[in-house]
Amino acid sequence: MNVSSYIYGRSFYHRFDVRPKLFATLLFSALSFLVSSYAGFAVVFFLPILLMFLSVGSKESWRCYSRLIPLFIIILLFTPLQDRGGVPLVTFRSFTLVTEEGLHSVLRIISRLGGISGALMLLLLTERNEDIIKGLRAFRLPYNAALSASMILRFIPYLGQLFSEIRDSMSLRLEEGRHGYPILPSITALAVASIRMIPDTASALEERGFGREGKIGREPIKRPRFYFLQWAIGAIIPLSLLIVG
Amino acid sequence: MPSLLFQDRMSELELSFSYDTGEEVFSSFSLSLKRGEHVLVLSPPGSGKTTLSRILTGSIPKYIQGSLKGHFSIDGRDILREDIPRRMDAVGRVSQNTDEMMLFSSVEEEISFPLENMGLGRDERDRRIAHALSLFGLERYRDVSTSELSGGEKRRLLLSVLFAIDPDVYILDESFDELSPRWRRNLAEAVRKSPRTIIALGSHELGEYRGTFDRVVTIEGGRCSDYAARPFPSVSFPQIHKGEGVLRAEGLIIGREHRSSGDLPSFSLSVPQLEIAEGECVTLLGENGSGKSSLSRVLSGLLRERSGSVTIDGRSISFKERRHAVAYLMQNPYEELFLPTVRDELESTKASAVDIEKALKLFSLDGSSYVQELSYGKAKMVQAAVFYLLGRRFVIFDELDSAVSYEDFIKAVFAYMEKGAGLLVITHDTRVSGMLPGRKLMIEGGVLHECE
Repeated sequence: MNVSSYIYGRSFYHRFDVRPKLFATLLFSALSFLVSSYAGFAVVFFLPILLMFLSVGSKESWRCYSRLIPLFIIILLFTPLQDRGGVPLVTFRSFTLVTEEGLHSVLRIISRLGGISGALMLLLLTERNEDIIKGLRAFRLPYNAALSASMILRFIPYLGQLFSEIRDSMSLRLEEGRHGYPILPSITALAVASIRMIPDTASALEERGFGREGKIGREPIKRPRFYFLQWAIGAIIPLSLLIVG
Repeated sequence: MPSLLFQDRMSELELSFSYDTGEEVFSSFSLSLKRGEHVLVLSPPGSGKTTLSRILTGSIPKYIQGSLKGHFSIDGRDILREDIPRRMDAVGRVSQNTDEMMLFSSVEEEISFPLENMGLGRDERDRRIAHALSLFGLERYRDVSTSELSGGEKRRLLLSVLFAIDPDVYILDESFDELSPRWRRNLAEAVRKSPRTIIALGSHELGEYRGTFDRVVTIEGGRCSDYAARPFPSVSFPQIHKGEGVLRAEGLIIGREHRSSGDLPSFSLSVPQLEIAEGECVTLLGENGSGKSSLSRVLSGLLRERSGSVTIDGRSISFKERRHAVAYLMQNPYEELFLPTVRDELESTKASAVDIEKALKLFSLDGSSYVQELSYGKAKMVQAAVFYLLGRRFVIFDELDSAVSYEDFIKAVFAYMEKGAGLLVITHDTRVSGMLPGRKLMIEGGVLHECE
């Protein structure tokens, strides 16, 4: 389980200390649930994209967000049909397809999904997993909990990579004239590989001394220049959501 | 087994083990080791080498259940009775499947984590990390993400981790395999110089083993016995009859960025020209991380080249078409095996029942075996059988010879050559490359060229 999303860089967000960055990510995610205006939805959705673009460039930003597009399409297609009460916007004969309330729901869900995913991806793209553990430890999170959180954060991109490996291998076995890959066997193989990974990872952790008494604690993270300014920026950006709310 | 003076005796291993499935792996397995002795265990895949390494480090029976009896005493301390983390300073291993032991996302953190758990201070950790990295040439990779390393580089990283922990007993499970000749020599040198007790596990004799180990033993019928050296198999491969079909690559440029580090230059491989005819066997050599697997992925349509062309029979073929024409047997067999049993895997190729039976016999496989329970070497033979049945015109063996016996490897090469497939064999074993017929290619300085 060794996948890192981290991309080396020297952008301002890369230089941001991990502690205010973690704080900003969590606060932004929490406050995105308080936003209910169209302007607020736009800020929640586009702010992480802008920061990501400035931090890792357009190619990587597109790579991250393109994975969410199928989900956006599903939400766009099906949510309005479930929320058809209210002022009709689009009708087909007597059937109401989209209402103002339905559109509002779609944009709210898409902005939260895109915004929170974007903020988390931004964190993983600009911080090494080990530094995220250090940051979580600085918030007094117990070591085991911080390690588990870091492993979970890594698990998601790892599954993505594992799935593309399985898909590649499956495609090598296809008969002449067939393209793509068999979806169900690929998902089954992914599930088997993930389950198989659990004992291997647990054993590897223990063999490297996890759970051993007498381990030393992590050294505290040094404070960078403009540390308090970074905290202020880390708080102001998410709090701005309350203004546009 | 040589008699040992009592005062020299450091480790005593006595064990019997059966998996919960009822399969007995060891019955009264007994091995005595002197302090600082270097022992090589040479036995075929499936004989229990990896099971032995897992028992000693505790992964078995805690995570893979079975019935274990016996003891492993180091200076009177029975390691088998201790929790896994407590054994860490007594015994450590480099596993055969490197991916299963990688936990962290940077090279430095992978080495630092166990050292922190040992309670070592910053200075001592730094000293050990720097020493371990220099021992296996990974100094420049300190900040690099482990997912960006090649198979051989991952192996060197796991070796660095073990040498940094420096337990009383080192277990090297097929650790020489997947390393280029240069790093095999370095590892042999490190073993020779080490004052620690070392148990190396291997499936076939390598030139680098000579003069490195104090004695060689084998596992036969679940017991440890003296190894009787066997001559390197002399083989006369079938006459090469070049078919009409030719896989050709021209002006290929393959590149990859090291996304996680700003210090390392991006990887680049240039292939001015490469030709493989049907029925031909071509051997590809090169350092770890030189781009052999990347080239294989490009030829088999799993990775896009930056520029250049790939043609078959003079016709330019698309990225997706390559997947139907070129089989790629990846370094890690588990990346290509998904189904429960060996027979399920073979039947997924839609081959006839007669052909499946033939393949089972040809690759010495038992159809009812569960794939996930097979040894690494046996899993490689299943992988070879699957692609044999798929009948692709061109086949790439990415270090198929590592972790399998020479006999099994030769069997696979024979089978494919007789079928008339064009073979590209990637290997680090100089004896294997010397034995194989046909042209030799080498990647040096980022360029592929033909050996004189």
